[in-house]
Amino acid sequence: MTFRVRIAVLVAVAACLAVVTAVRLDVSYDLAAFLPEATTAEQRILKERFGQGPGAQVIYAVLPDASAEAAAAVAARLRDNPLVRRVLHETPALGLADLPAVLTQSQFLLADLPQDEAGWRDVLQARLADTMLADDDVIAMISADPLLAATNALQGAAETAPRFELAGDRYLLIFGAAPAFDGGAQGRLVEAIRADAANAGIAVVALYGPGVYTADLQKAVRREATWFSLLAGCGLVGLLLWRFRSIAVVAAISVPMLVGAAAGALAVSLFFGQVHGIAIAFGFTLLGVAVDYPLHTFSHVAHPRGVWPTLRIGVATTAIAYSVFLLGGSPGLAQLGLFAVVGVASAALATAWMRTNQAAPPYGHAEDISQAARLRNWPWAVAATLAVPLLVLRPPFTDDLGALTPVPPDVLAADAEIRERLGASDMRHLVAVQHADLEVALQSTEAVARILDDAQQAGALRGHQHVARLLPSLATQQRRQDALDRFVAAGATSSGPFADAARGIGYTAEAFEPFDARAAAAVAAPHTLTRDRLRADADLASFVDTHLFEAEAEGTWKSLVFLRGIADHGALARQLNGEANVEVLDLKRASTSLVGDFRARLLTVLGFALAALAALLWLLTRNARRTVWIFGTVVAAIALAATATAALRGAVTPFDLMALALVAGLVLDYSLFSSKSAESPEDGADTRRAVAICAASSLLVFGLVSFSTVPVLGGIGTTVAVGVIAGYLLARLGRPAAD
Amino acid sequence: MVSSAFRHRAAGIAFALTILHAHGDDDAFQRLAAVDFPRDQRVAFVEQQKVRLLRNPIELRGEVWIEDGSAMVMRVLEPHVEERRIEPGRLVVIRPPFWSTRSPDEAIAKAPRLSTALNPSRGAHLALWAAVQVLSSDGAASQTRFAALRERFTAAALEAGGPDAGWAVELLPRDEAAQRQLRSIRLYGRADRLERIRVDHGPDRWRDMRLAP
Repeated sequence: MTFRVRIAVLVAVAACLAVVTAVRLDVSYDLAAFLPEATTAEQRILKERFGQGPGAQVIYAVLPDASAEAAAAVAARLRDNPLVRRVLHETPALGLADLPAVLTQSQFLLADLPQDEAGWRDVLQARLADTMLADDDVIAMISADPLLAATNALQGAAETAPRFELAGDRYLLIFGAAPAFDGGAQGRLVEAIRADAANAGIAVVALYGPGVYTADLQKAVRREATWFSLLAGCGLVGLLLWRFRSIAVVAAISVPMLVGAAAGALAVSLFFGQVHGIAIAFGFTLLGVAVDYPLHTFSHVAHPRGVWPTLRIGVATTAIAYSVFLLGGSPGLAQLGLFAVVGVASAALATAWMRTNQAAPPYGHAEDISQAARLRNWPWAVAATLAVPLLVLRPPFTDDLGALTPVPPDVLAADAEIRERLGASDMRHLVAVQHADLEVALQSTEAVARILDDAQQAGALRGHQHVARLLPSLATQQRRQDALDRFVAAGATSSGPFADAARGIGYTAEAFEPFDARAAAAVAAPHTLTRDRLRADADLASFVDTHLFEAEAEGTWKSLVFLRGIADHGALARQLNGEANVEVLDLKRASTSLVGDFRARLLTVLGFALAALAALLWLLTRNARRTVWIFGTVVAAIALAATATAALRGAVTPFDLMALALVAGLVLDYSLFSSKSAESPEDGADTRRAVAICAASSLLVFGLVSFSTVPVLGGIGTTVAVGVIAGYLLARLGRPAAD
Repeated sequence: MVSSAFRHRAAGIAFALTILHAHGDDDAFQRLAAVDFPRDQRVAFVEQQKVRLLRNPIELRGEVWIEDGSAMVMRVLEPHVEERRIEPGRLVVIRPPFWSTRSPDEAIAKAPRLSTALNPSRGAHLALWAAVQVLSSDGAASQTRFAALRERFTAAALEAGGPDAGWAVELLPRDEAAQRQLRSIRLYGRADRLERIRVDHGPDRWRDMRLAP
């Protein structure tokens, strides 16, 4: 079989694997899959509710200097868009028709009836004041429900803003129909908002919200991927053509990488079913080391015998090192490990098969170590002495969950400001009520709500949202049903405290007939308000599921109370923490500890990977001096890369730590080949050129990526580019050229 | 088939009616634009209000004033304390508890503010919005306000009831949806002073506000 046929066969194999993978592939973007197991209640809530709190699916549109009519016109157009679930351009005034049937049917279960004439007088006077500013539909609503029980319950659940205009700007709250991480749908929605605003004569629209950032990110990644791929591709092809002077060889160098990527992705989809997007993206990054294999092979065409033993050591140590990710403790890391190990092994096999007819040595052939190369230890020792103490004394790691988001910090700051301005829910603090029994969880939620009502009255809090307003505990529902029975038995609106209060204020005898009829019906056919009944209404279901859910793994019900405008968090926490089944959560603290655990886990994994790498190196080379030199070079390069990343970008994120794993793989390759004893001066020169071309190609690609405007990608590019420069220079300086 | 001559004649009649109508509008709007409501001064009012839930009209007493040139504040002092602020684009209701024993200023300062958008397609809101446009009338700024008023209402001067009867202007909403909740607004005055606003929402629902001289 000729060389060209083998390349064609490998391309076909890669294509087949890619097709099978594409058919099977189910990509998820849940970042929580990468985080380690939660150990505290705060961490569990954070992981379970990642991106699902109120406001996570809302897009805030700021229309500068727009009139109320223009804002209303944009909102009206958007309401016709299937990508939009709901649009608010003003605080919605509720009429009878807006109330879900389940709430109007259950109005007597949603609020307490006043017990005496004074109580009813307060209620009916308030309604009288309401009627003075109301139209017929609202007056009808008051006739049927003077307590406004259904309306208040619905308004308590509605995500809205205290105002929709400020300093000449108007605001729209747009609730998308698609998940926030569906980049395609969010991109179309963003385009639709801009187009509708332009049609209403509004040229500039500022948009905020997770969906917008997803769309922007996808656009930025797509744009940068196109340009960087083009630039890197042209640069690489130019570099390789300059080195090998053969288009066929340049084409062949890319084939093992393609086979590795396709095999890695297929393996992950076979073992895990659903594949995390980040595992695929970082898997490709780690697989960058595999492009070195054909580079070495083609660089040693004249001396093929010396390449494969060294390459086998490189492949084996890299695969073992990457396999530590399999034990990383989270499904995402395990996927990343499997992708990298299978990818590296497949790329190596493809490289070997592609060049088999070119006198590759038999499998058992080992490196000739009889003539050990002369190696200098001072370069890596000096570098490690400079960098390692810096890292130990001032650890540059950040545990901010924001560091894991690909959204630029200035956009996050603007988002926080707009949420504050519009009085959206506090994204940091919430109260969690937990119990194995749903009824107890709801009763505890009611107890929390009473405390929060008092705090709100005292000005310590601007507002709070909880499920018990829509779904009272069964005990509360029973108590209200009993009170209703007594109310109806005592004459309902026609006699007793209600009638006395209504007559005193001046209401007609017929004013509350609809209320009377509903009360009689509720007594004749009592029912219970359940979670399932509420969830049958699409809008209410979304609220209920966000605020009340069952953590099946723990066998508990969790009821979340979201808070707005907390004046003194400490005081509020002291008041609530004494309550049974209640915990005040600080999601910022939870995210910091969770990312801290993630970082610690990654550092442990990297540590074990390096230890495995050192042990395997010694086992395969049986040369302690060489093992120490290679290991020292790898560690020094990693330390320099981490230090430089911290200096250039402010901190080292967990994603940068994953990039350091690639640095380890690449530098291992450079130092392994640099420390190889040459069969001849020509072989030595070929090896130096091969290492140089490997380093140059990696530097070209990751140097370009370091210019990415997407923070995560820019960080990886910087880390790997610095690591490549450091590793190559250390390996080059550590091996005298005369050898 | 409608003849061309008839079409021309019909178009001519329609055009003439438009001019006449615009002319009638102009007089009435000019009258309203000339209203000189005191700046930065609270004016006492007494309002009779009838809704179908009540046996008899209820009487409210309080003060009304214009704030910052564009917001109308109605402070009800009897039978309960409540402040309604009609600001550009929104309605804020501040209602202290009815049992509050604080002074009105203090009670209102402490009470929660309930803010909703001023929705001109709702009759009650449209009437409040129109009142703000008239009471905050102020020279050049009035041109913009009255342009907005013209967009939503037609205006007609009503028959005066004698030499000392002053003037009366009736505003009728142009929007059909608003007409169902707001039949008419009648404004009565003498020279440049507005004395009374009567709002008819429909059968058995009206409000009649008299301003102190």
